[in-house]
Amino acid sequence: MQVSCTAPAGLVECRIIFFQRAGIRLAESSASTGKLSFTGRWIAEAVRLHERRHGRLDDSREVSHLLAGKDPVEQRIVRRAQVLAERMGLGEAVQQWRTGLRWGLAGLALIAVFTGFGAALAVLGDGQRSVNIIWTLAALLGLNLLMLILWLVGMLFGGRASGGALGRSWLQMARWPGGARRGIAARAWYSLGTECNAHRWMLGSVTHGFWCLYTLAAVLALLLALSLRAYEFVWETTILSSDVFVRFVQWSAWLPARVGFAVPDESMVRASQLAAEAVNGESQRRIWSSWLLGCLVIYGLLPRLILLLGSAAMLLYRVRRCRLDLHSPEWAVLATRLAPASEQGGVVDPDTMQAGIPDLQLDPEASGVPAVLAAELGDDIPWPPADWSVARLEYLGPADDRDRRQAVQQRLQDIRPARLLFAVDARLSPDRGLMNWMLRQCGFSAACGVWLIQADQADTGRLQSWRHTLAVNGFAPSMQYMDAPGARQWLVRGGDA
Amino acid sequence: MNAARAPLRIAVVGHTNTGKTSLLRTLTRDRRFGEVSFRPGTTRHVEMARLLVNGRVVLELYDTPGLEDPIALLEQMDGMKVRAAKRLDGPTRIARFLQSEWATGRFEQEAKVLRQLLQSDAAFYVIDARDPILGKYRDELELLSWCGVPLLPLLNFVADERAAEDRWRTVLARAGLHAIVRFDTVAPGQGSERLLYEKLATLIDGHRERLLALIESHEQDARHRRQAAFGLIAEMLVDVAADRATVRGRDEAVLAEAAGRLNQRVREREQQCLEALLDLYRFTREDIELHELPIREGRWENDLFDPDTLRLLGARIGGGAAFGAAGGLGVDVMFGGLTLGAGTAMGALAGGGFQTVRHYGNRLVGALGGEQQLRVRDSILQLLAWRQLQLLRALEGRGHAATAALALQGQAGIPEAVAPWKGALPVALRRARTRPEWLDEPETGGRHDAIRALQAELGAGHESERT
Repeated sequence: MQVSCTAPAGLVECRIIFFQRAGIRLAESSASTGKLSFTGRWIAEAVRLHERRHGRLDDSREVSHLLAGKDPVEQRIVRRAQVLAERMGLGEAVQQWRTGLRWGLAGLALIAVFTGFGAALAVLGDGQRSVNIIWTLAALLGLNLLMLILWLVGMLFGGRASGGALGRSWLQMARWPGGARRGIAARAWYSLGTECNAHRWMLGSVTHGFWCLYTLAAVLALLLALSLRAYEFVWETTILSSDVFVRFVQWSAWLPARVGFAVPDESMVRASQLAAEAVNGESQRRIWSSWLLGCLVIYGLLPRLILLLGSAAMLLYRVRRCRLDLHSPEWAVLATRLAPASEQGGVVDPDTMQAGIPDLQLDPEASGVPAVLAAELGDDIPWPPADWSVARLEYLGPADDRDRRQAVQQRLQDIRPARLLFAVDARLSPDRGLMNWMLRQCGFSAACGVWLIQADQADTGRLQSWRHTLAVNGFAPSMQYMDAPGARQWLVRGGDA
Repeated sequence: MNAARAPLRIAVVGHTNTGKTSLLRTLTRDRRFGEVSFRPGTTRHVEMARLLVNGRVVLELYDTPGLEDPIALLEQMDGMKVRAAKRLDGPTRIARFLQSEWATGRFEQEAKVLRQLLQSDAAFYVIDARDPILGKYRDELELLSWCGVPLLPLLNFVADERAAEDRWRTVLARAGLHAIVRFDTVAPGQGSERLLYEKLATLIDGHRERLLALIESHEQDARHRRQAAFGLIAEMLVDVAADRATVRGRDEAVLAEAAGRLNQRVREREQQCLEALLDLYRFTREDIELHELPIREGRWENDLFDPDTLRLLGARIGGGAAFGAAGGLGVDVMFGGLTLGAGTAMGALAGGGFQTVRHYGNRLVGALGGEQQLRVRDSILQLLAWRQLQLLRALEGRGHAATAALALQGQAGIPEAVAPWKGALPVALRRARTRPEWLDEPETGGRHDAIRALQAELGAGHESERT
């Protein structure tokens, strides 16, 4: 859609092309090259807004696919969004919104041209009456300047949301009529534009563009009217002195004069006062016309044109620099999901153990003195227990290393206890090595039991794991003792007590 | 060249049930890794996890089964040594053992550990510092040292009162291990990960750069996470501040009903924020129980609007413009939103915020027609902010290995008078107060600015608290 940018109708086209470049085309072309576009991000934003309202979409397939790839995080987010948007039919909504924007732009341009043209013709009148030149200038320039001041104030104090009422109405036009999905495309456009600080410049571009066209149309209308009709230019006052007007015209004419517009001198201004009954000569008319056009171009068109170019440049700059802020609350959660700092590598050496637990085998013949054997105890547990005043009892252990274990085993072989009670520290962790060794020692006795010391101190998890491990290894719950009296009673009197 | 490219392989070894899998979970920030339980020998296989920096694998961590029978294994290997004709060094002896039938039989689990260790660049040796120094641990240490791989002992559960840190340090020093790290797998605390990797870098040559990059990347992630968390909290606060309900007439029942609806919305919004924070910190709501905070299964236990909750905050309950039933509900009644300042209207005009002006006008008209506006009180906002900040702090100090029973029992209840803001609310929230339209149009630039401002303020508050 390459159209040469000639005024005035061309300007509209120009603008359309410009917006396409800034927002839209930039997007499509780069999808294949791997570079991210504004549209890509725009779709991502739309999907985010959708998910915020309706909950996370099912994306497990896409995510695992993306995790396997090598894309940077932002690209992963955009790719995921593209797939999801396709599924929701959001791409169409984005297209519609784009079309809406274009139509809105064209509508605004049309309004600008018509109102500018109309205003100029209306102010000049039909040439039957002399034209109040000051009034004409104020009418064509006044609203423009007033709105310019409002825009400036808005830019200074309005934050990212500012950008001019006209730009806003453009969005309203583009939004209408809109379905829910198209609404989300619009909201995403708005929100991403705000986030990237591009929105105010976009609205600013539209606002300034409108006034540019408006003033341009007015200038053209003036040219047309002044070419084909004869106007008498006068000025009048009731209470002001004529010096005010002389000075006003001179000051206002200073800048247009610099760029070659003909401007009236003092005598001509004085001569044009209505009361002076002066009739403009041909040259005077031409000078007044030139001054009028000069003021309109210099004070109406030029500032708006400069601001339009400035805003457009800013817009392009902002759009080019637009990135999803991955550390913002909006994206951080998704970014963590799509680019985790760790990944599971799976099992590299699987469990193939044929768990071979030796059986609990007792020696029914054993009838020696009952023994209590400390297997592994914490340093804070005194051994043998101080308050156990049982005379006929063998105290063994602690047996927590190889030498002591061998010594204890030797002793057990000698005495062959009728009952063997293991004392273990419930705060420690049971393990296969200890269990195996305990099971082997049981073979020297006629009955076995386990006393879990400090069972009340151990956290519930540890205690559970002891009970489970013991049970699995053949020490049934009835053979486990949680307190000293119970354990001692069994040891002294046997199981039938 | 190849060594610089290949990821660093770190085996995580230790006796059974000392927290090896927990360490993996904490280091990978992944709760789903492996299986953690109190049953000994839960991990019977070798499982791997990778740590990435900018999409590149830097570290491979291998979770191994526990060494469950070191005494018998050492005895066995000593027997093999006697049979060997000449003197053998550690790795050779380990290799011989791995080739023997024992390595596939009785000591298969131990063989997996030793095999993995031989293939690794270094190992974290996880120790439960609460355990006494038993003979089996000495034997274990000897077996591990035979592998000839740098060992970095990690003292787990050092915060426990039973922890015998000094004695463990002595034993480790006698075994030639002097670089030791305290690392609580359940509540690692800030900076302990950095210490861990820095110590590791001193043990193995030539990987310092990569480990420093890993540290840097993790710390940067943590900073960004925190920023995002402040943003989530700020967004929630702005939404709640902007929310309001409109009632017609002064009927108490109608008022109470409207206040109830408003309160419900606030509760839901807070819950939403809580879930987003859990998501951000990679915790899930099913398996989190924060004992330090009254949260169970990802839900706050005590109600936001419960007078006792408010009293705990030291917040005023009576007074203000509230009256009647609304008084107990943490809601203020305003008459037609007339608290709106003229400044807001001017600012709205200047910013082109005609929406705001329209709302303002509507409210003015409503006020003349006897409408009242309910909004959430300042004290509720304070409480919300405080609760979420507390949650954030708890999540930051929490390892991904934490399960209910392992969690450190913090003090119950809430200390008094902890309002995050003394006196007036921040400007951003006061602004939000006057903008109910932000709820309907969340993309408004003003809301965005307010959230960012509040986010920055929360961040600054956090920084000043730390220093």
